[in-house]
Amino acid sequence: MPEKEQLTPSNPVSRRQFLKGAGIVIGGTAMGSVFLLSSCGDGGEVTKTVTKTTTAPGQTVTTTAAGQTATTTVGAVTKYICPFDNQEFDTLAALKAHLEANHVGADAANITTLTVNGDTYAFVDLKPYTSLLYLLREKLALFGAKNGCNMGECGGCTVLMDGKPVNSCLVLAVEADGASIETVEGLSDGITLSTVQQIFYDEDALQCGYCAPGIIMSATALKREKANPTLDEVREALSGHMCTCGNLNTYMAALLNLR
Amino acid sequence: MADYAVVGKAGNKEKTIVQKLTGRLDYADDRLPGQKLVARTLLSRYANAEVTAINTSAAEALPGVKAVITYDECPMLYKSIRRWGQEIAAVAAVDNETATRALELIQVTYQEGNQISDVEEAMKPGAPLTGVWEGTNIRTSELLRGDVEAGFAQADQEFTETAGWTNFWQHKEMEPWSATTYWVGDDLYVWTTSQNPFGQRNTIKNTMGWPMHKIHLISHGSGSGHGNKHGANWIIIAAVLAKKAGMPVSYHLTRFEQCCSSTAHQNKGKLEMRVGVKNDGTITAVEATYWADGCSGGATTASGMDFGFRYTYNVPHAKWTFYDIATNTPLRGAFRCVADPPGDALYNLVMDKVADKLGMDPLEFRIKNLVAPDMLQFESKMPFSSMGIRQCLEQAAAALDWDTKWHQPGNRTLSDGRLHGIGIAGHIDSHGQMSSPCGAILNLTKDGKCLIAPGQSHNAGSINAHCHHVAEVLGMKYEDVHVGDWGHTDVTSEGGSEGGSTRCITLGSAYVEAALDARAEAFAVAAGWMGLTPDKLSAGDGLIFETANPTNSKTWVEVAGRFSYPIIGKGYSWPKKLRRQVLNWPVGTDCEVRGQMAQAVEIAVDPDTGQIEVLNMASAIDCGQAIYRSGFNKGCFGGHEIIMGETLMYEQVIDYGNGASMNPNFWQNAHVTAMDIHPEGFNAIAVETDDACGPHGCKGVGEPEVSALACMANAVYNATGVWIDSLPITPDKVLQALGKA
Repeated sequence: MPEKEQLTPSNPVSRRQFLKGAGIVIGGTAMGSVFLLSSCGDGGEVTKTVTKTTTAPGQTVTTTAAGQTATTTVGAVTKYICPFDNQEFDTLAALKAHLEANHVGADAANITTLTVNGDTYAFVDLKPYTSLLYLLREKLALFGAKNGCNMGECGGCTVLMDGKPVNSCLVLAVEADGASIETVEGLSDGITLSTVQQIFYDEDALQCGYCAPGIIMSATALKREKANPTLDEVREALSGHMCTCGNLNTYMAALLNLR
Repeated sequence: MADYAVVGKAGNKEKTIVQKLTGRLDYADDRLPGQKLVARTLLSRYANAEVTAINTSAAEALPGVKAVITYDECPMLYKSIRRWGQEIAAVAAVDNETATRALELIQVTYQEGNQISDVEEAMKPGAPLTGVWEGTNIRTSELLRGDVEAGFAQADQEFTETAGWTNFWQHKEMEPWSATTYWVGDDLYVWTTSQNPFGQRNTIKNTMGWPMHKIHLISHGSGSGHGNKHGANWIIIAAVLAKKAGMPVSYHLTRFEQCCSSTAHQNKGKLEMRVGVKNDGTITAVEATYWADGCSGGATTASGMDFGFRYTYNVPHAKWTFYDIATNTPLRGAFRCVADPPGDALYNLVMDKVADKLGMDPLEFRIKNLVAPDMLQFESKMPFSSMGIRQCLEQAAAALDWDTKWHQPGNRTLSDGRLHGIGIAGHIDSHGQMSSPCGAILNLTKDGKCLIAPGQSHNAGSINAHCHHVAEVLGMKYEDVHVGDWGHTDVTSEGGSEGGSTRCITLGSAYVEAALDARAEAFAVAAGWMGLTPDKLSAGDGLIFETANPTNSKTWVEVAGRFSYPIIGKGYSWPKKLRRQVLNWPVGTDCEVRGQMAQAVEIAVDPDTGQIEVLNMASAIDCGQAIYRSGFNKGCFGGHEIIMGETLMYEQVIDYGNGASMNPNFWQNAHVTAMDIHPEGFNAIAVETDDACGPHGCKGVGEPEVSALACMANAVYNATGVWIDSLPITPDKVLQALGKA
């Protein structure tokens, strides 16, 4: 059994060694105190990294690690692999107990699991101040959500949390425990566009694009609720977003098919 | 007007739109996930002081802190403080929270000086010095035209009108200053937000002495700029920290840092103008005095504020006096130019005030006094390469049905009890011209496409304009011209600054030359194959064909398949000279290339709450020729939102007691949201005058709203019958003006 690891920001080398040992390919998770435990998958390079979770037989699972995406077809078996010693467990609870007993001490209770764009991830020992935005950007390399103000003013970091738009900079990562998160990356494979993305594409409705991912997520939530929203509904849905190119009117016109 | 196959066609898309829509366009902070340290800066809490001692040992000892630097190690950190919020020290740490904690542990000892952040206090005789300039707070200059007193002697009436102060605010770019930097040996790698990647590389070299070829700077996504992203302060701070820490560092400013530190702000301005007019409304002379807050950078902005008036109106006798005042406020910088927005707002307000005194329709008064297309500009003695200001005013007015809707001030109430107002403003801009020389390169690929690599930043419009220019010359479809890399100082050619509305025309002209260069080589290949000489060939609609017999053709794909080597086109931008005769001025004449524009707005003012609702707006802009039409429209519409913000909301409030910024964020510094906008009420009109200098007849139109600051104030007067000429026009000012507060 390996020695217990102290996961503190002051000990980045130790953590880097740990990550290397565990085969995690997430780029440079050395500096935060957050570890990606699960980037689900089966077989190939990804499986070796950390915990694997699987879904129904034959289902395709997309695995995102370090900004690289790998898609793999998985089997019916779900295993949770300890990143410290590669032991396998049938349930997350068993893995948590194992971690608590052997690796991260009392902090092992601090395991946060969340689903992002359909993939389940678990994180050990998140700092209480770590925001969902930071976790998405720096730990999952999902850069669609933008850090425009980091204080809930601009809407650039908007993602859907259990279907509802939230400013991810104001959501603590631990608050998102058990939640399902959707980011702009989850709406499209980069080739086929979602309904809202297609509307904005057809109208060539973007300028610099920095506010666009957040606005797309709010508009997505709106359109799921109401296919043909009114002006007032569009206004309300986008009211938490700023755009300093002055492009809000163009987004609104596109959603309302005005021009 | 020329009939173009690609240029100006509706429906063409922004070249990186899919990357932007899917969250995959990389902005400066979207690099090295989890691998980069976070930088934060310690900002001064005094507005005028000398730092006498600094102790960073406690900060350096904090676990997670990897580097602390001060003014001793980085020229972008300061010992002599002239504004509240100026940078003194910087920290790189494992995360934002640790870096922020470290800043609190830095001990600074200051020797306080006299701070004066109220411009009116700073300009008083005997005011204490702000320390920005040696021995004075005020600098002055003058400009004379004709014989002023002779001009006033011709006048039937004289009016002296004032306007201002305009408002002080920060640009509020969605993406703040942001850079991710790291070192490999003595090679510096930078990803940054930008309006001028090559200019930033120069600034880094000049400031730090690092060899230019070892600075590898990339700017892909840039989350708007508005003039505030030409510098390299933030990059240098990040790079010095990265060098000291031996690790990558990201400096992505907080909103607090973005509103203070060394970022740019639009400054305050004020105007007093004595105007001599004949009874028919002809202006015979003006005598104008401009004041501008030069802020803590000691900017001399006032002497640019006259530009719009000088270029727009036919006034043969004039005297301008300029006062720049140094204060201990955050830096002044370009927001849609440094001087045009306050300057054009102020004189457009005065124009309305004079028209009102004369009892004239302000539109008619403007049109009566416009410069004529056959005139040389008074000071430069050069002709204009195109002149559409009159059409701009007329068409913006017509779009809002001016003739029906304009009324005597305070004279129309809507059925819901609100006061109806309509206003107009317009000017010839200092922007849109052919600027400093730059270069363009493109590749014709063997699959019959074209790949361009602009050496410029990318916000929204101009790289798409280049694709239009190139497709038009090559006879390709717009879809077959692609943008490869851009804004990368190692692999693109120096493409100049994405500022002053100059890229579409300046780098655009270089791309026309590059396309001609590549087309000549491709024609040589095609001619050899087709048994013709290259001069017998033309290109269009994806084909290269015999000019005299268009059915004898080859597709670009077929011709490219015969390239024995990749074809590279290169070109350089054109000089600012006429490329075709205009009136009596021959080809090659040095000329004035100027964007021209007018905006009209229709509003409703609630007399009980002071709230102003913008019902309709119209921009008519002389762009010479719209190139990327959707971009033109979005630029105009975007201008409308910015006008609403600038005139009704934006103000960074300074506590004159200590120089502190009171609302350095979005939420206390109101911003336009969807709740304020009537998207169906926005109108964009391209006035196409076929410019005689720009490629495909275009001029730059990236700054399409600056005079419109006044159209809102003029509309408020039209609605209420009282002048509110200090910006922003907030509900409390409206109520006060109506005697209700």
